[in-house]
Amino acid sequence: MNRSAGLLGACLLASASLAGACGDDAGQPGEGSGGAGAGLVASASTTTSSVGGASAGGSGGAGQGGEATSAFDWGLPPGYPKPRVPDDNPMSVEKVELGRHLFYDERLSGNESFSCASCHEQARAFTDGRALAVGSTGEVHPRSSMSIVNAGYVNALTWANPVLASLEEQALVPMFGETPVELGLSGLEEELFARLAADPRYVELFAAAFPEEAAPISLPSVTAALAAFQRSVISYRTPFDRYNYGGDPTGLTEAQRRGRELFFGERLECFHCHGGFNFSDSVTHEGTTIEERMFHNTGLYNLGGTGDYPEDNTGLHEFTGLASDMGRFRAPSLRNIALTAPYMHDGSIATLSEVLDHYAAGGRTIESGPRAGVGSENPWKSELIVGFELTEGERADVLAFLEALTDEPLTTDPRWSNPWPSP
Amino acid sequence: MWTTRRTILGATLGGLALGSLGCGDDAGGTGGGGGGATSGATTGGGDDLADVLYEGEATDEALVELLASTPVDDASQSASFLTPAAGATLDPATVQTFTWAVGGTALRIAPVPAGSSRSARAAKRDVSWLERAAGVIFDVREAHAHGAPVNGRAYLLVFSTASDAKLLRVFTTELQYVPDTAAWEKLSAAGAVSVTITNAIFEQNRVAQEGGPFVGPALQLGG
Repeated sequence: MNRSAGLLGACLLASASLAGACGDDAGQPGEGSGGAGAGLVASASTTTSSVGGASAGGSGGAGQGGEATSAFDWGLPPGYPKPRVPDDNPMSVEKVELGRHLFYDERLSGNESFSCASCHEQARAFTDGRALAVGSTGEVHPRSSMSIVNAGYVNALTWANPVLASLEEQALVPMFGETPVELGLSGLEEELFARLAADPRYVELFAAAFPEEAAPISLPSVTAALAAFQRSVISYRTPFDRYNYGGDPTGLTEAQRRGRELFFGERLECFHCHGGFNFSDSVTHEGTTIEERMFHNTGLYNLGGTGDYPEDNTGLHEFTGLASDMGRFRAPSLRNIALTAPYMHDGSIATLSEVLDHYAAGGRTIESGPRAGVGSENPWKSELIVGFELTEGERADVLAFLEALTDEPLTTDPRWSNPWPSP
Repeated sequence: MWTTRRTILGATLGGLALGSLGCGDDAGGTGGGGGGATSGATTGGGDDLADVLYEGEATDEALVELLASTPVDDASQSASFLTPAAGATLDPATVQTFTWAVGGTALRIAPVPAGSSRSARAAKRDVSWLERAAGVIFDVREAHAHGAPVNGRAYLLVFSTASDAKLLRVFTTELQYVPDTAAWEKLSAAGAVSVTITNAIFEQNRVAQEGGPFVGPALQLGG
């Protein structure tokens, strides 16, 4: 077995194990045990397949960048952290460009109706505006689509998976996962490679991105390129960034500055889970020395007063089986939060104002129905969710600050836009 | 937690003597802090930061990191004052708001009128000053110990005179500083004052890669 095939095998093994226990994905999680695992095992078979002379398990598919590729420029301002890049998948201009084409290509779904961008729209900061994601076959998922913005800084990808840290590995789940179906490619690996190999544009793009590969159209190449593209999508041009990193006094309004002070203060406690440059506490980057993977129960539910969350959405508990992990989810980045409604892992809160209500109350109370319960009394709730009081003015200031985390240039940046012509 | 933190801080301060931008950095020096190294070394680990006023989300951990880092000569990343204007008189009756911006940003922003009256924020800082005073008495620093670490830029303002290189030091994450009553009395009574800003970009209280520190030009006031 060559090195690349070995890496792929390891990736698939890791993915299979996580899918069997949790089945999380890029925001359309909730794969049950068994089904997802089967899907991933099926995808593993592609490591020995070949299409059009392209070995799906081709050596070095993850890409070494190669001497013939162009150095990638992150375009970040001084002092802004750079994502950590795996040694076996260095960034290159060509690889990111290939990844962009794949990301927006509906041929990457079983029925050719869906692309990654179907759930990750650039205009919505790479989310979909839905409470719950919907896959290529119409299946509604138990969780909402997460943004891919700054995904390269996340050390625990998806909503509640403590071991999925690689974008390369993660790409396999939406492609081949079966519970739920996302792109629906399970069992269609050969067809996928045939579709790609039949397009002269892809022949060129793959060859340019993986010049050292004799058969560059392969599954490792696809996942490596998708990962490189996602890693390149970085938010760093918000009003907050202009003020906080750029030293521009006009970056934030007075209200936003007041909101910032509240946000980073001990009264609201927001920054403990949504702190740092990425407004999250599960972060890695080039200079990281100590990493934490954090998951929190925010008192969103308390079914029957026992602390339970809805059965199909118990968070880290799905992975560990520990009672104390009930309802624990990763704190997502708040960058572009004003563009990514509805909120929470299941999209069950419609507006940012209501999110503030939830945290101000120290948890959500649902008066009646199958999900009734007093979230603030959830025994597994984070000790940081204690509630707070805000005046109307302070509330407006906090919301104004959250608006200042919107990166408008990102939503139209051609580096991350659809490269394919409109039909 | 505080005890642990103090221990870490003390150890770091010990290393600070080796830093090239010492606590006693000459506020009038604009050439990259070379002179500061000497001043800092003379103070050694005993040069605590008790005199420093903290504003915004600034922390003492970040300040120690800044002072221990070698300055980078990059005018595009240094901060320049927008107000007051060079040579402005520090009128004891009118508290001056100090504002600044980084690099090219400073050139695009029109200065606001100097000599604005004290703001509500300044009044709030009076309370903070009292808290600081209490902290000194009881050997408990103000509550930066449990606050958010610095992410992004923070700015060290050093006001100095010919006889006092550390007349007033302020470490802040904001882009303005309004002296409280005590600070303004000190500044306005000092005569000719020089002030410099050294800024750095932080990630979790540590100076980030390519994050400086960057020393800005000195501003001469009063006299």
